[in-house]
Amino acid sequence: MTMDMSRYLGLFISEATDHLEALGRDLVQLERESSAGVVDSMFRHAHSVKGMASSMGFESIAILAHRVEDLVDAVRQDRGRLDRDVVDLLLTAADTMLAQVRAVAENTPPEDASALLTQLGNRVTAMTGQALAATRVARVTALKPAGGSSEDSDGSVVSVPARTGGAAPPAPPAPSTGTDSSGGVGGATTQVGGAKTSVEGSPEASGASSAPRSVVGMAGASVVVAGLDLPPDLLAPVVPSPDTAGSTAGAPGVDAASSAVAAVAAAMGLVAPATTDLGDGLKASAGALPVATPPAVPDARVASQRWAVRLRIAPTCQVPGVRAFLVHKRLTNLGSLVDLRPALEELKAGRIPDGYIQLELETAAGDAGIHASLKNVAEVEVISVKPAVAAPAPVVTPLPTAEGNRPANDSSSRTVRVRTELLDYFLDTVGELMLATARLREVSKVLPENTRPALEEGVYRLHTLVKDLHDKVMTARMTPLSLITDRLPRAARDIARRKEREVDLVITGAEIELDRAILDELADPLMHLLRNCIDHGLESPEERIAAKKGPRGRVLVAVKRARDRVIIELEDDGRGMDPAKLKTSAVAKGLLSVENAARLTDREAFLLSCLPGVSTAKDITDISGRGVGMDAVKRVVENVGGTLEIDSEKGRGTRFTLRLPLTVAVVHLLLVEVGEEVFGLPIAKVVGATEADGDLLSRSRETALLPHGNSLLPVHSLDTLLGVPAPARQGARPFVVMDADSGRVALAVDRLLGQEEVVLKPLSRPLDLLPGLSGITILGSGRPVFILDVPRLLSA
Amino acid sequence: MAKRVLVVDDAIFMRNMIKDIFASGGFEVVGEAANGLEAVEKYKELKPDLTTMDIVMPFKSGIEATREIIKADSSAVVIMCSALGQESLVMEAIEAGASDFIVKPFRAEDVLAVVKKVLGET
Repeated sequence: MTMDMSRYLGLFISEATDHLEALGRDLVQLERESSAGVVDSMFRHAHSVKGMASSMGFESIAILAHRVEDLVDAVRQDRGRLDRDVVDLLLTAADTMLAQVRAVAENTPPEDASALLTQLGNRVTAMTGQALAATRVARVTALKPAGGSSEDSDGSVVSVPARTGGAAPPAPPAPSTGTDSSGGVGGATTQVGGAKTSVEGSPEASGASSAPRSVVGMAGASVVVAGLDLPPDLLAPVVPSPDTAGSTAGAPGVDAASSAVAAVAAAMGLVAPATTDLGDGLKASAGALPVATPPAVPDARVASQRWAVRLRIAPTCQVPGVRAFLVHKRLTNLGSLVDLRPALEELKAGRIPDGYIQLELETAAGDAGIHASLKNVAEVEVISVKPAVAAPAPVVTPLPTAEGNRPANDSSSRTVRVRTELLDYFLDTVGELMLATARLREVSKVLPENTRPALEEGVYRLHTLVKDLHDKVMTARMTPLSLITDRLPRAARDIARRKEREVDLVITGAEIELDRAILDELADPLMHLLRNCIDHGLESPEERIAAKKGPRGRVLVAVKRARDRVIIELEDDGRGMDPAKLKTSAVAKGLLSVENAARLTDREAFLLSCLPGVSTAKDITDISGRGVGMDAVKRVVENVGGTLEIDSEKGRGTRFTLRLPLTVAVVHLLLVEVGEEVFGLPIAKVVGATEADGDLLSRSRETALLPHGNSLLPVHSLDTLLGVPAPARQGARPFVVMDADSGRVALAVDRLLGQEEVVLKPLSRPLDLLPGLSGITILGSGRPVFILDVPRLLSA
Repeated sequence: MAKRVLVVDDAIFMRNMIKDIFASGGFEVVGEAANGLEAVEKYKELKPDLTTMDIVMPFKSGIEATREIIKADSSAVVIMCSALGQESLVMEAIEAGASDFIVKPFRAEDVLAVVKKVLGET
């Protein structure tokens, strides 16, 4: 059954015109007075037009409305983004859509909106920093011409000739866009021909990266808007796939369902179904569902029992995530879900390999109840419901695959891809569990003697399990450094070419593993250090020969594991750094006094290159002088709990040493008391602690100076820095000596409480905006403790 | 007896299309509403077997209306009318008690397939 859309044409024209005119009025009003209500109204108008236009098969209008919707949505999130330019742009878009609607009414070709679309898209991207959504206008039903073919009456195949007449000139093959952002299904180029169209191979895949053209179809008239300069992700959903089901006019049709499936699958990184004949594609995929395993004989017990359920979301489902969520909702109404694969977050995001979901459900409803609860959910096939086996399967159990014949040594069949956010969630939750366990243990201490042992035993067991789980989660997060070092050779080559250097890059130890979160942070800093080495460190071949070195420079990236740390060394054999120059530059910038500069060791002086603005003007080149600077490198390394050291010898080269913790989550703290508050200082930055009488310290102007080793350190009072009330005190008090950006400092505290290994939790809004706090933890006593970022606290 | 349907959408165009789809499937459209407020009122008045609910509507969203309808009648069958890109809104609606959803642009056979499945007719 195909709907005859021409009967809605009149209504479409009048209602779309109303919406677009209202949109224009809203815009003018909005410019006078910014209000959330008006923005919402604009969004609704654009949304309505999009829905109507896509229903009618007027893609060009639908895409434009979609972009307007995106832009209005961006404005809705932050009305400060609305300026005269945006209003102008939106007004132009509203006018253009009105003109396009008029063109539809008058049966004339619509005006080209490609430039406008690009502008809208750029604006949205600039505002939100996000790539344009690809799947939103995915499914477009082209207009059914009056008296068109009705061969698709079986209802399982979309067959919609886009137009009658077929007068359009044959279109050239669409160029493949090259960069296939769609997850690997692209590549097939769709040949769109005017007279006779045929596509072999994998039509489902054709939408992903092909033709920059859009078909506007309507009764009795047809226009091919060629050469629209659209991003391929936007085009994907609307690319016409030839209609093999007997398009009488021989014109390209839009096979809505299949291209939508492909687009959705592609956008979600799934591999589109294997090649299927387009015409029979949907029938075939429906028919090709695996034969349901006969359910095991149900257990007659009424008591709650655990059931293993396997089901599949139909491959034709446009929004498998929502479908899966509905299934989840139904089943959780029935009992408690003890195991779900893919996990809920994955399901909701639509990341469901081949549509298969397996889960274990504890319910008294029995298998009949499970079947009944899913019976009236569309697009879901229950494959099997069996009593669950007691032992839970290991996490790396292969996901069920349609083929079932993958080679056993294919690593992809033994591992599951997990999003890093999910890993973060696991770690976070395990951290919470550890804290909760510690809290329980504290509570058990105050219980009466007779009840204590039982609880303590339970808590001990819990503690062991949670610790084990924590270890496993940490293991799952470990990722080899090669993930980022693999990118270095190419980068080295590019930089060397541009700077006319010759370089050999040697990487060792890339197989060593590190917490994924740290690794992610390190990608940019490592790249920057490499650039630094090649750009500043290495001399030109001529200079090198003059300095009696080989013409080819050498950069060594060595990764080593040392107990609970990973050490990354980046070393070049170039010209080295001059500590005196760095000191002069820092003094000239007012970042350091002449006296302090004189006291710095060479090693400390090299670190001056990490102060913002110290790199000399000559250092600022098109390669190194942009983006991440040395200051950012140092900050990142320290933020993940590591340290950065620089060694250099003039004429011999420079070595950057990054010492990194294996994981971010557990940090060693020195707990200090200030007034009545407790704060944590990262041990990594603590040089030592000492006691002195604050009143007897020498002073330089306002600053007290603490003798330490053979230098005098500026003293900062932590209570003043933090604004914590603390009683004035006399006599000896403890000082913590710490590394800060411009050298060591002494922090005056009230009491040292000792060291503790804690689970670090990131701060959420608005606390994360406070400079000087790097995280929070909860002590066993239940007391929350802020972890201080001393360098930032001092500079705030 | 034909099942009775309430169609909720702020666009007449969409309402007409949906009405035609239901008519072609042998359903009886007993009422229409153009926003969430009207939808709740009409639902209480008509007690339809099925309600199709747009999400983005003035005055009261389809999600809020669904929540209120389910609160008034926990056995109400509400089908959300969504567009691609509205996944999270549809999930919110499912949490609010919606029975199922259909995705724009609608195809008659898809809509009827979902509806019949939900009503247990297939």
